[in-house]
Amino acid sequence: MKKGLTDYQKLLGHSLWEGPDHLLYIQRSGFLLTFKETYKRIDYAKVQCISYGRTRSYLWSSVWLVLLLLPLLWGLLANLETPVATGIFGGLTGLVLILLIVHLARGPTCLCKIQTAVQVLRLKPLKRVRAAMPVVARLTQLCLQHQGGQAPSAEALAAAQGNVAAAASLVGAPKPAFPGSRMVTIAMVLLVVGGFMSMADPFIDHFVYFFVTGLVGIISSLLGVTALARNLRYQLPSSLKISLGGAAANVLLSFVTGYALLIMASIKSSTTSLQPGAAFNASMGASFNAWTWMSSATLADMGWIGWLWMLNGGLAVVCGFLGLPAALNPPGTKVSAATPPPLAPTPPDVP
Amino acid sequence: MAVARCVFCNHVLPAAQMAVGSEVVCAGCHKPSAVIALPALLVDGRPKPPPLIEPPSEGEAACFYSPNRKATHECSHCGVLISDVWAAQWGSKSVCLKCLEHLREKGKDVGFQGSRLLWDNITLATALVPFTLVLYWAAFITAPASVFLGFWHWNSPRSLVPRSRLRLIVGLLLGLSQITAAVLLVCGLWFGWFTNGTAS
Repeated sequence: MKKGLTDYQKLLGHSLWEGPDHLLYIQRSGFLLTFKETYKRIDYAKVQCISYGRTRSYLWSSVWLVLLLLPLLWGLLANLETPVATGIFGGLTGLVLILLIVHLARGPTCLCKIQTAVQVLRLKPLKRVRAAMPVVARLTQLCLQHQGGQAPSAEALAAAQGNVAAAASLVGAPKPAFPGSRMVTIAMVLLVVGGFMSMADPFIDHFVYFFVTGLVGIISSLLGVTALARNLRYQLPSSLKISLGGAAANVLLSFVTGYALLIMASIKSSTTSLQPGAAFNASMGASFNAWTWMSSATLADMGWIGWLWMLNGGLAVVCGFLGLPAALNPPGTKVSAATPPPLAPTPPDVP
Repeated sequence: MAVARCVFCNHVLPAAQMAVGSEVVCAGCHKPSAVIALPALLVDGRPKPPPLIEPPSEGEAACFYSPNRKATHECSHCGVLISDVWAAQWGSKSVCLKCLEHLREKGKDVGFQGSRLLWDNITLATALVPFTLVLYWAAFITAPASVFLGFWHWNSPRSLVPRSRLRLIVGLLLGLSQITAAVLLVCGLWFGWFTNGTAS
């Protein structure tokens, strides 16, 4: 016999349960299996509002899965003669394809929160619109039952908030000024350094330098994108906005350039075959040859990819220099100089 | 004041735009979201000042903890008469603060428990550790441990919501089977069951 409170009814999955007068939200912790359950009880009578919105995770997850699928598909088609490679690439392609199909079939993603007077709680199980809507409808019904009344009208809400004009004025409220961020500053400095290092790379024939350049480039680009995402809630200065956007574009360009360079290196360093990618799956030695070729390649060796490489580095330098002043002197930290208090009058000399 | 917050950035949303299912565009992140406003949003949620001291008049009960206050509630757990300042509302129940602390700390009453350990999953995980290949040698410790945990927590409360004993039973059976296999292995090595008969 199942042991537990029978007055709980399942709302969604194993995390949301409908109780007699409250919603039970179970948060789980553990590793692979759940070892501990933490319970949050939200009285229906105290729920102020339920809010939900569609997120872009559906789109971005689809894009990433497709981007993951394409090289795997390419690897599968390029290695049809080798049974082991076909098996590995076929398995991975199939796995990603299944993930993509399941993801698309589950429908758009959403974020759902429930608000009381003391907390705004995110209901993590409600991730997909299709699954969330019936739960939200049921929760609304339960809350209205326990709060004994109809949903308040917009006018009543506005009157409670103060007045309609005050409420409407909130719509046009600007974003807060950018207060400055250490991450943005570091990203800008790294963009400049990484950009210069990239541009110098075709003229320096050293494997370690090539490796360090790549590392700095990756870190600066990722930091730039992360900083952009984290600071979008602020009113960014236009120079910083362009700079951070440029860093994001640089990531894409770096990806294209790096991919093209890998293919070129595999062709140029391969002594046995001209098939793209042959050097990378032939042997460790061939792979090492390709990396050595990339590190020692000059601008002339790389051809048009070399110019793409230089453009990449130049873009990073420009973005870094453009955003650095705003990052070092953010507008949000500008405060007017404090007026010193008036000096106290000197007491007259008492004889 | 009726204040709802944006689902994405927690920015305050204008109440004037809220109605059932209507979309509100946040001024902070400029993303649209739907807000279902409920009657509780109109209730003033600001903390109230503590009630004034109101001594009990002739024939009225006094608070058990503050005798100078009039009793207004009865603790649904211990039954003492308490005043407003000593009463806490827990769902539909009124409990005194001492009982509330006791119930939350000890967790004897399921209605007040904040968390629970799932011993059935812990038993199962202990029994599954040797199957990770890297830790197969750990079976000599984990198998007896899973059997011990399985029997020790046979009657322990599982989850707050309905949950069967299936995981506990699987964990126990896995642990017992590993112990049996280990005993057979040791016996086989001791008595030479695995040596080829042709060897002389």
